[in-house]
Amino acid sequence: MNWLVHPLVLRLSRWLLAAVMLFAAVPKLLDPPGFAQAVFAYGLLPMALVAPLALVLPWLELLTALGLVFGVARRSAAALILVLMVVFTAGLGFNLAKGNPVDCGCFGTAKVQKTKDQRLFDMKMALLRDLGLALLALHGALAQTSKPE
Amino acid sequence: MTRFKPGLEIPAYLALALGCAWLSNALAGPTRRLSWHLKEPTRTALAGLPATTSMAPVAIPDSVLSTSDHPSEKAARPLQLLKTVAPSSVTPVAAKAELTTRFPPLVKEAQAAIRGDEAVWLHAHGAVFLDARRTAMYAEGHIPGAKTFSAWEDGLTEKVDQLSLFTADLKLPIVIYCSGGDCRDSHLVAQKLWLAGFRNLRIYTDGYPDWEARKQAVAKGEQP
Repeated sequence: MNWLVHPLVLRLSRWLLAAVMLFAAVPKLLDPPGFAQAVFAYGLLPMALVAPLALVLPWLELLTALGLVFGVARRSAAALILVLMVVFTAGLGFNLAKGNPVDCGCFGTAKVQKTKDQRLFDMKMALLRDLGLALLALHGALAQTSKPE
Repeated sequence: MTRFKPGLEIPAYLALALGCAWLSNALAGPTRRLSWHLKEPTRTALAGLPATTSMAPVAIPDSVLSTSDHPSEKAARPLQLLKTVAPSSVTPVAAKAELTTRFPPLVKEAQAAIRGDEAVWLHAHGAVFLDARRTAMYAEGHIPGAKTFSAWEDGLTEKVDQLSLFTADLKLPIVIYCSGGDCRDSHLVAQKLWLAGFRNLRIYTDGYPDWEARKQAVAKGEQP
């Protein structure tokens, strides 16, 4: 498994993760009320926590992405993203198990209204994507390069 | 070896995100701003009004609901407007009776669903309509005369307060709509209005798409 700690592999994995986090953060940063609406639809948080989460989470995504790219506390950034992915997966999984179709809200709010089946399918895809991202984050958090970068 | 101090770095990330969120929200425009704590509406604004004025039904002037940023202006204007506007714009007693005969104030529940044809009837009889969708969607098209009461944008509490200040009869029907389907925004707005004392809240469940499908007149543009 030596290739996992190869500097190039590590760099690629971190940049891929950072790119996804950036794409996720920007639409939410531009429209906090829309994201709050999406968070509320998950039905997991008390009303008092919906707005703080909707305001802080996109910034956390942006900052950790920048941290990964520019090498500021890289492993902590990856660890934070890993925690986020676990939380997202749990939130999506819970609603999927209940059969409650929610808009992911992952990359901003949907412009067109989707049907229930479409949403449930999208939720399954989002779960798979989150698992993949969690693996990347785990890699970023645990792996250390064998030689200094 | 990469330096790793999660105990220090993770709280630092969280603190920085919190700071950035606070700053960006403080600088955001009204339609992008989100209230940090979604506050419950109050009726304290009504406390200082003489009892007689609160009995007369008053139409809500458009200008009242467009919020002003100047705090002193905000505080002074509603009372001033109430004095000048009240006598001329009292809802005719007959129209009011017609509205409450078909849609009597709700006693057991906070809100009740209405169908599209009922919404059309209420609109024709001058009931107040509130649009719970985002301001941008309101601008793209809304029910004529509806006020924008976006459930998620900042300033909803102030709008609810002002509506309660200018609606002397809280038992007249108020129609709230959003985009139909599983949209919950009108329910959220209704909840706030109920807490503010409104007792005849009607949710137009099928919402704006149904209104359009019924080929009813629509208005475009931002609220004046």
